[in-house]
Amino acid sequence: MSLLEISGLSIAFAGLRALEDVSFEVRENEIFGLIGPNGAGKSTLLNCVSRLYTPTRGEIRYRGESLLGRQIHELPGLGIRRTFQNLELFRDASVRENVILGAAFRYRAGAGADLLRLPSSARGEREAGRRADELLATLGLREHAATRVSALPYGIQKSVEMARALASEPKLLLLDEPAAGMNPEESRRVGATIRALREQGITVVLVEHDMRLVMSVCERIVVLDHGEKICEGDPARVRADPPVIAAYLGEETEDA
Amino acid sequence: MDVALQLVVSGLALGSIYALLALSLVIINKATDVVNFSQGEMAMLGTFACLALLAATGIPLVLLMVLAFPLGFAFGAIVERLAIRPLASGPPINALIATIGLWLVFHHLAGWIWGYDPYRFPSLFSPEPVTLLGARISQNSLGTLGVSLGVMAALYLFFEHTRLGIGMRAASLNRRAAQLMGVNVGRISMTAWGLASGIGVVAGMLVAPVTFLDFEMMVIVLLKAFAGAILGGFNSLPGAVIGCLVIGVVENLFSAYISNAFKDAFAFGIIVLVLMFRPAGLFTRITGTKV
Amino acid sequence: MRIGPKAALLSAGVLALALAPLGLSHYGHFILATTLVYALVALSLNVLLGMAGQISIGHAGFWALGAYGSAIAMQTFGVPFILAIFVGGIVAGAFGALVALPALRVSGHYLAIATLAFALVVQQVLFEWESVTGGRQGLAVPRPSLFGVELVNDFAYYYFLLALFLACAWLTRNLRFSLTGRSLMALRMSAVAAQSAGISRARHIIFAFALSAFLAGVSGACYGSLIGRLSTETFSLTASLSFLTMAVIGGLGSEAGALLGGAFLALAPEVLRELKDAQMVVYGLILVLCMQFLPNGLASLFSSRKR
Repeated sequence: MSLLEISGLSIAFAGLRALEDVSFEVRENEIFGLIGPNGAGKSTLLNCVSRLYTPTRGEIRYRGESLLGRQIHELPGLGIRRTFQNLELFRDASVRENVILGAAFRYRAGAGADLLRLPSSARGEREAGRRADELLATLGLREHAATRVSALPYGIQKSVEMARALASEPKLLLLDEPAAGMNPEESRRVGATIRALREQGITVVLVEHDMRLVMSVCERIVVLDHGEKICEGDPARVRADPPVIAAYLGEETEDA
Repeated sequence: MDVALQLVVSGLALGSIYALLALSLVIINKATDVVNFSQGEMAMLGTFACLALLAATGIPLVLLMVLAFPLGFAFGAIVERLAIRPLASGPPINALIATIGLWLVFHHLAGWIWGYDPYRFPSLFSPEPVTLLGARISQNSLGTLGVSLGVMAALYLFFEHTRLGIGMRAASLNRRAAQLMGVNVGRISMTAWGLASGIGVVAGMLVAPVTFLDFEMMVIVLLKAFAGAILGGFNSLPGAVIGCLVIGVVENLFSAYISNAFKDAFAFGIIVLVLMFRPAGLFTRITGTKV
Repeated sequence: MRIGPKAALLSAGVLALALAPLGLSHYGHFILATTLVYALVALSLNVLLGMAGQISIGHAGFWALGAYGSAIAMQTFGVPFILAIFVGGIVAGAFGALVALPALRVSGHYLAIATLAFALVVQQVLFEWESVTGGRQGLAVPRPSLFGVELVNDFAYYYFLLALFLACAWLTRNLRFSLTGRSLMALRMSAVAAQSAGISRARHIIFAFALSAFLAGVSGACYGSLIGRLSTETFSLTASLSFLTMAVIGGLGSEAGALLGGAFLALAPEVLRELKDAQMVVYGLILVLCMQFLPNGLASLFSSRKR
């Protein structure tokens, strides 16, 4: 059962082709990896799905319905959430507030009720708070609940961003390099978290650079290079695929 | 037909005044990602200062014109250093509000010092009109048009082909990254403000002979300059000039054929419409922010 | 019943406001009433700039729409005072929603220009529309009257305004702590993150503009009845910039800040009377210096708020 269907996706920025005719499917409740060397178009693809960008050609279907007609803020209502590569936290707000804001759209009573402080308004706040507290406990963030996120270390910030994304009980979670800047121990924990999410029925699309994490946690992987799909399959297949090796080897030579 | 042509040509002249101020706005925006609301008032104040200098020393007008730019430059640099630089790392809206504050300061400072009655300002050019494209145009207007195009060309070369100019563009795109690459963003901001202010004072000295010098001189001009810059896409120098020339011509035609009383309202209506439907201007395409 | 320190402070504040006019001259009552009128405008900017982070240098436009809307409702259509104020607010609020539309596509300096353009157009149209607004002659506004009883002097009017201000302050305070208000502030902190978290930017910005314009319109309506006469000159760029100055110096983050801002704008012309022409220079300097040294306004000196 395909949850997310990408077909013929292409996008160009000022003449630069970032994605070229990319197609693949993500099945329900799987952990799906999207990898490729730097500049391959992974984040760009994620941005297209989450509607930050609009592709020039192609289609994105979620449960059979096209997402291209949707706006950014409509996706969480459909059950789609994401995290960001460079973190987009509400920096001046506390950890708890960040997570509450991740659920606000679901629990809020409406502007009128909020202005007049009707019972539905207070109820909505309570429920959002309750949901936030649940997640803080699950992700081990309770001790930081009242702290401003900008004052916290990077690893904790990443957890907050994850918690915020989970606040609305999504069905599809798009993770943009959740292990970036982490040591092996922290990466392992990220992997465990992702597996736990899958146990809860969540489908995870993982954009990642950390090969160990990808290979250990993903069931199927698509590899992008220069905006095109060059391989698709399970970790073993991808690892051995010559074009994939060449693409990464090319990256290594560039770095050298 | 003759009348229409005349309106178009004088509209171009009008537009070229807006264009000079628009270039100032774009320079600062290109280099620092800040928009200086008080650009017009700085130009006006600088022009008043020049007039005072002229009255006090009686130096030849040509020399005054030459001095106008460096004087304006110094003024802009000082303002940047004292009022804007401290806000560079904070939320951009703070810098915006600061420039609005500067608008108030300069606007009313001029009124306070020099009063509210208009002053005559001498023109470099003779009052004999000349013929351009079959229409009559004053030499002052022709001069302004020429200066506008000349400044635009010079700035274009500066931003595209000089080290400092390219550094300025880099600094505006990503201040932190530019800093880390060894670019002195502080000096770049100061230079941008200096350049913009210098050009502004020159613009003021070209406008003043026509409109008479008073504290209100640049208020509407600034807004029209904004309109033109927005029309042309705020970060584009040639776009800003073209946009302003268009505004000048359209304004003139509207004023003559439809309504003189509402010509300002019309220009502002254009701003709102453009912002609603093509906020990147007629010539550029918006690129989203990278996340 | 235990009263916490915050409640005590609040009660003391309200009591102080209630007692303020006693013992003051007629002119003192006028100043107090003016303070509240301006405080309402500051409240409106608290919502738009403080919470939503949207700049407006054209709020005099909404102020004007409220003032003229209300005055015309009373003069031409015989609408009773309180309802007329509401009408003024609604008219302004409707235009607020309209102005929000370009605001959705642009921000920062573009938005400032759009709001400025809006206010100038309003001022110009009101000026030219002589048949309705009196144009150059101006428009007379009847004295406020509640349920048939005319509020003859500013002493009585002050208490009405106080009740109105407290009601509006209650609304904005509720908003500030509610999920809607916090969603608005989230949009200000990171529009991308907020939208990706399901918060609709369009809906919230339009709401912020409409509410802000409504409050400014209500203030304008009250202003008209206070002064007794409307002239389009009042609703100028200078007025818009004065509003911005007052809101910034008072503090955009609290209702108390709005009150401080209102007091500033009501008293400054008195205090700065000597400087006459330089008054606006001082306002400008205040804006510039505030941004550097006191970006959260005077109210921030009294609170150590941490969210």
